[in-house]
Amino acid sequence: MEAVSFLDFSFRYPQARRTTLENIDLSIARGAFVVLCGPTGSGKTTLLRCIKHEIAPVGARLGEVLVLGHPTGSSDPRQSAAQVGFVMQDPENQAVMDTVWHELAFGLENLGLPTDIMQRRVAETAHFFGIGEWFEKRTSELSGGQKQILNLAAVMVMQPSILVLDEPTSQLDPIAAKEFLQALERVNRELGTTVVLSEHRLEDVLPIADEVVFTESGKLSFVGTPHDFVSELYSSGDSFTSALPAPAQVAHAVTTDARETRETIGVVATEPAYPLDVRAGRAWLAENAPESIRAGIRREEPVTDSPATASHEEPILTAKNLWFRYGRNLDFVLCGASVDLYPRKIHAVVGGNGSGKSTLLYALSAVRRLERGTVKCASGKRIALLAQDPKTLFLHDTLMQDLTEDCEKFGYTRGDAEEMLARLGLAELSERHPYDLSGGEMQKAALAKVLLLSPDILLLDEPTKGVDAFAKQELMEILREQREEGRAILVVSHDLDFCAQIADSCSMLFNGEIAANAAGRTFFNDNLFYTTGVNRVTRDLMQGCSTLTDVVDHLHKARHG
Amino acid sequence: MEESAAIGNDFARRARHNAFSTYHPAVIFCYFAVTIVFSMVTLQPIFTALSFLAASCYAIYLRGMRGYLGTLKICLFAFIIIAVANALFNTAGLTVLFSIGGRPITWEALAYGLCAGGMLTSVILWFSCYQEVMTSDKFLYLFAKIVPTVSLVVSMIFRFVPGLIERSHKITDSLDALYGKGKASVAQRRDRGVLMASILMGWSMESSIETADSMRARGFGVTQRSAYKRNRFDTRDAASSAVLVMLSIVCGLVLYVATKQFMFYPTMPTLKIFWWGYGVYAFLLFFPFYLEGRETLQWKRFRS
Repeated sequence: MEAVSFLDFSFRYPQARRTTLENIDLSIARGAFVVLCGPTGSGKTTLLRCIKHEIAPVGARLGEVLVLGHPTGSSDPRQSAAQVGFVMQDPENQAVMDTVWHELAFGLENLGLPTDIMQRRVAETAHFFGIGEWFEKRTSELSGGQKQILNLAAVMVMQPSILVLDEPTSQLDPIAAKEFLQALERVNRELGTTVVLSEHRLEDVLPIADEVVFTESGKLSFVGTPHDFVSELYSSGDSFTSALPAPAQVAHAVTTDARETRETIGVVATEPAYPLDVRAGRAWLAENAPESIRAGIRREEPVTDSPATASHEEPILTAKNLWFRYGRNLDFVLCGASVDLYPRKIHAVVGGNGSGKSTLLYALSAVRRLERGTVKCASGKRIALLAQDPKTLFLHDTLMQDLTEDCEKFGYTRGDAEEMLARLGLAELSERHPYDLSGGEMQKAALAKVLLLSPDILLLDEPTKGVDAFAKQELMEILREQREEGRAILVVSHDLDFCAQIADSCSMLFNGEIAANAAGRTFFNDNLFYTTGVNRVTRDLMQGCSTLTDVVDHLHKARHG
Repeated sequence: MEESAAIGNDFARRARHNAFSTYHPAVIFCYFAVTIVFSMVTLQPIFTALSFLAASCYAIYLRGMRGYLGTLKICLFAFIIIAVANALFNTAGLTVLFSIGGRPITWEALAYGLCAGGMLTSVILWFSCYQEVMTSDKFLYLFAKIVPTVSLVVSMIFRFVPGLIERSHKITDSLDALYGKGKASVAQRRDRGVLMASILMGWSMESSIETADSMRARGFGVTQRSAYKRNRFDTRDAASSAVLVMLSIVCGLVLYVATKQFMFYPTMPTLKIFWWGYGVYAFLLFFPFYLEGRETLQWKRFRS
């Protein structure tokens, strides 16, 4: 029996012009790990919600959705609630109760189970997910990653046979996201629970998925194994390829190059099985890359830009020896951090959770008062910080109202705002409520709001959080344009691939100090653990590559001597 | 992030370990109910002083000197106002101490004011102890069966309020970061406050829709809810309840007789009640300390 089957299923929201889902035929085997991906607005959330009867969207439907062989909603409500678990995107809003233990027990209390069964199930679940240590805590005290693990556990405690998750890691940082996906993999492998997951972080999920479902404007455009999916995307030339795992991207670059030079690179040249994880990627590269492009060629000069420190320009902002803490009795968050920003340069600060990255930005923009240290800004230069959660910047009912809020004070007009929106590709959204925008759109809208203030120094806190691969590319273009216009940009991020692609120089914040500081590429090439996926795959095999562009350049140079 | 965590912690401050909180919620609730009612109805100098003393000791034990003094500071204000006002405006009583502007200030009126102020202070202190021992989940356990939805709503509010506070801090920080701190005029800040209130409403609505979905997805409302926490009413609870019932009856009688005999006006009689009357009342008031001491003794014997 299939876990979930869609039988020629179509769905349309009331008053919507077009159908959100069209003639979906899909069957998901029991115990499978299925990844659902596709561009924003392709109907992923609607598809997932239709599996869970309790929260299925209201609208016109044709065809049927079967869960474990029965149409949704036909079984006993207690059974229906328990057999399909649903985890949503935002970690904050799903927890109902104030304490962790009560949240875990919530679903079981709803089913009216007797106390001893509940206690056993809660204990088991807490043990499985490693919740024991924070079992007595308040849910509001937990970190985002912990909250999402709790939401998963609070669903798993009801022992569902199918687990449905709607972009559960989009609000988490990469490390918490990895932990969450590992927990999910354990649920699938160790308990045999069927997992249906929508996700834009393909890098982490493709290696563990059995099946990929790709949706485009309400239709299924691909269903198959991850390997076939990668081949299919490359052969159709879809723009979604930028979201694929780095090993696959490197393999594709090498294959394309080989095709162009009409070299044969072994049997896999025509139909390569794209590697999905770093280990497979390295094995692939060692086997298939032609000798000439491998470590044999040592480049005298690695592809690096001139280090920022060697720049002849004066820094536009100098911060020296910054010390900061949130309270008299608390530990220092920043202890002696220093950073210089130059016009026409993008500087990236990377670092783990709680390393003080956001605090550094708030200190630079003088929102937090420093205990020691100086921040010197070149005279007459304006500084603006775009905070992490762009949602906090919008107070009005439409995007346009929000953008024109302070226009007189900062000397720009409604026309400027319209121009800015058009430039960022948001013109059609100007009358929308900011809360209705997607993650990528909201980030761009927030950026529009900042850029209208025409700051000379732009500080960005985690600009890629909740932004899909396509929007990330757009974001990079915008930032590069801004750099060309002469702004100094500081990006603080967990997203190493993003930083490697846009930053002219990079530093790592660790324990409140700048632990490493180097020009863009060198930074990642010198790191072993803290580096980009591309660099992990190509280390020792192709020298000095930390982004896909590096790989292409490297291949080009190898070919032309 | 650290700041909001601090706010959350403060909101969710938990009591230190104490022997009494390991007892059944019903025992704890009844004890505090009896103690607080007794303290309120007896206006007699020695009984009030005893209650004040016991409440102070217990509050210091549970909340530390700092927390106790914090509460006492607020009470002192009320205490002085009541004492002074009663002495000034109540001219009943025969023992005139002195007069202000022709108004006699009597010893009896002053004593009454002091006593009433002391009573109020001790009741407030008892409530502060009650909050430490009888945490929200215990209260919910006791009353969830009588009013099931109330338990859920209270728990959700406990979750909701810190979120709202955190959100407003985030918005302020983000806007400060964007426009620069402290550059907004008073009018602008007022406008921003109004906007913020409305956006917080919108945000709360949106998040409560998600919360509602999450509740429905986990079967809320499909059947009668059961409770996860089990508080067994064991022999220890039975024994201490028996003692408490006895103490309450005896104290009730003692207090009835004592308050009948005692009057502030026109003159205060000499206090004639047997010492054991005070003794029994003191035992009731210091009952949590008795449990605490017994637990410590047991622990010591257990260790040796």
